[in-house]
Amino acid sequence: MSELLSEITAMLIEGNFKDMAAKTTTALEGGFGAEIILNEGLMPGMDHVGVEFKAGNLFVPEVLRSAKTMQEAMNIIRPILIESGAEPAGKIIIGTVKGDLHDIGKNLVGMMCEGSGFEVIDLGKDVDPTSFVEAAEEHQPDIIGMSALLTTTMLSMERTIKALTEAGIRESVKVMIGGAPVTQDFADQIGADGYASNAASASDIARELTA
Amino acid sequence: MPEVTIIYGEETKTVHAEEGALLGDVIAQSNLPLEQPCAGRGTCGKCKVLVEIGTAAPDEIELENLTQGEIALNNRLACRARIQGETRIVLSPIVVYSNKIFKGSSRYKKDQGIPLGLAIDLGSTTVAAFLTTLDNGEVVAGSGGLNQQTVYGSDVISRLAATLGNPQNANRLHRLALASINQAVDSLNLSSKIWERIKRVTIVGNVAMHHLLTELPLENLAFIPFQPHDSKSIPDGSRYMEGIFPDHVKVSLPALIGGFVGSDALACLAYFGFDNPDGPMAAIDLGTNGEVMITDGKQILTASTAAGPAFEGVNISCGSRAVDGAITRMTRENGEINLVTIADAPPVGLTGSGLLSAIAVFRRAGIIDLSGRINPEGYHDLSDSDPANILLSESSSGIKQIQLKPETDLYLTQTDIRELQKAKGAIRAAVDVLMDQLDLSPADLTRVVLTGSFGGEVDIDSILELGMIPPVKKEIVETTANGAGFGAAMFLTDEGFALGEKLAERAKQVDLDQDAMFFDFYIEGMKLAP
Repeated sequence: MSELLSEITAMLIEGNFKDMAAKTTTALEGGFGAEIILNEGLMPGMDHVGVEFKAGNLFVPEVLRSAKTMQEAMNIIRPILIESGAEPAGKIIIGTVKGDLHDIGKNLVGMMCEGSGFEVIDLGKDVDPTSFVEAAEEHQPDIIGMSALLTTTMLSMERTIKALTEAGIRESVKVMIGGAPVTQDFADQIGADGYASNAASASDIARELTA
Repeated sequence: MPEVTIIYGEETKTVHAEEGALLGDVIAQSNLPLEQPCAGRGTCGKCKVLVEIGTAAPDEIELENLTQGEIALNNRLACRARIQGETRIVLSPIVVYSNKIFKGSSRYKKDQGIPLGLAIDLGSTTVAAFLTTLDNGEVVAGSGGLNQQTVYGSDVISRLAATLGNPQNANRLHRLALASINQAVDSLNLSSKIWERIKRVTIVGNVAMHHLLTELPLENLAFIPFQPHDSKSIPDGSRYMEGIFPDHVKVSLPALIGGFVGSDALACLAYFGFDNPDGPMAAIDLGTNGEVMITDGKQILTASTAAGPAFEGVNISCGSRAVDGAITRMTRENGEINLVTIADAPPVGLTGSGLLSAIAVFRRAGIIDLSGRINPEGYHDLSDSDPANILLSESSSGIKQIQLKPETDLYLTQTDIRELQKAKGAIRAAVDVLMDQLDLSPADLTRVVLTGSFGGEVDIDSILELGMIPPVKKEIVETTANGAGFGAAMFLTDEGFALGEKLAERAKQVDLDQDAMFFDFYIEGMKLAP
């Protein structure tokens, strides 16, 4: 009975985005609920991709293909999930900080988090502290994730955290950071709640922070 | 007791010392690194430090061991200088090496009437100086040393970060650049007679090196829009030199192109003849910051691409800089692996070129697949080799790895391969973006030049097989060491300098981040295939 779900899992790991939409529709027609497809078909696949990515066995191009495959399925089941009132694992706002426009890593984090069942709101790149604050006030996220590729621009992470504190919402949201020059030490120093060295770990940390 | 402040990159120590105490002893107290191979006799000159304030005037022995340039910059020998009043000094990195990198004609020694010039390539890692005969523009000797700014980080961004909001650090990086130039020039061993004949100096470098040397504002470069504060040439740059060159020498800094593409790339354009090529051509300066230059014969496009330090053997588990025993190439015949090392010494690790050739060998053997994955199933369909000679294992943290050679304790890990893929993907994507904007296909290219310290020794077969450059015929690919230095030598004459100005006007810098195709090219460029 769950053969169809295993096929979806395998398809996601393979990155077969061409056939995913049809397979998802077949599963829905076969009586599988959208939530079951997400939790037992897609998420185990994304978990596997995350583990293999951390070990270096899968790389950025493969992860992107898997993420694209995930999107094909989500496009079909997302409306059903929303309609049925299914709760996401949590809500995350992500963005590349002010002064920086490198977003490959940030995009990967978004995809991995979505693959873990989070609702992801992507503010894009060159996002100033005020925009993070405004988006946080509007969307009430569980987590704010910031990315920076440069030693120079990572300093605006600290500014964003200060802006959150000044706006009085620092206590109601977790902050996680990442990017090539960022370290756990730096995260501790600026008072971030979480740090991840790669996109797969980022979704693990996001789950820990919302547990 | 006077206060002594000792600065080593971002680390600062303050100690108290007696008046007249030996600076070297005070530094030793601070536990910051200082090399004193001659045990403080004042003969080896390895313990040079930059004094900002304080210390008593140098004695005869110390003066004999300092060059004019070093005296001008207030370099002192820690083993001779004595504390006087409040003192503040800047240490250089401990690994300061210098070596001859080029030797040409000795005509300038016989005919002492020939005027001479010095061309300096101020690289982020290496600073090289080239002695040039000005009558015919020929480079006759070249020598280089480490850029001492590396105490503030090996990448340029860390160095920019150190200066932001900290004018004192900005001045220190400026002086460390000058100290590095001094050292590179000093390693040419120029006599005072030769110095009298030196009329001109040109200094080229990437935009960060140029701005750190001239202390220009760095905000535009460190943040969006990532552009130079000022890209114009500086025909008379003596005011930035703090007197390290004699007064009769004219120092000029050629123009920058834009973004992170500096006057070193401009020098490459000149040296490789981009002003008048035989057909569409490309040049790539391989390094931590890769510069790509392509012309269709009319337009000249350039881009800077962040390749990271993999090509220098950094961030590679068994990576090595170019020291004795570093593997520069690997071959495999009849299943037998052969490692070529510097000075034929026992292998210690892979240089950038060694890394490329190792991955190409294992890729050829079917152990690494197209996606870059170490794929043990590849064993079963090897047709041209004996799989028993390639040993796969897992590191203690569960990362797959390939033993480079039986009985050698060196491994190429899955993570190393990924580092190389990112680096070569960044280079390839930059090439593809510029080719796309110029509407060129690989078959249109008539010449491809690879340069940079890594580019000069690299194995062209590996480069082509792994797809670091687009698929072109091997015959049109050439490698040249020191392209930027030789181009800088061309800028020593008035005509050469004018050519540089013309090229700077013609060459356009492309922001890869703004190009819609860059990401797709980057992802495609990570594949290990032509």
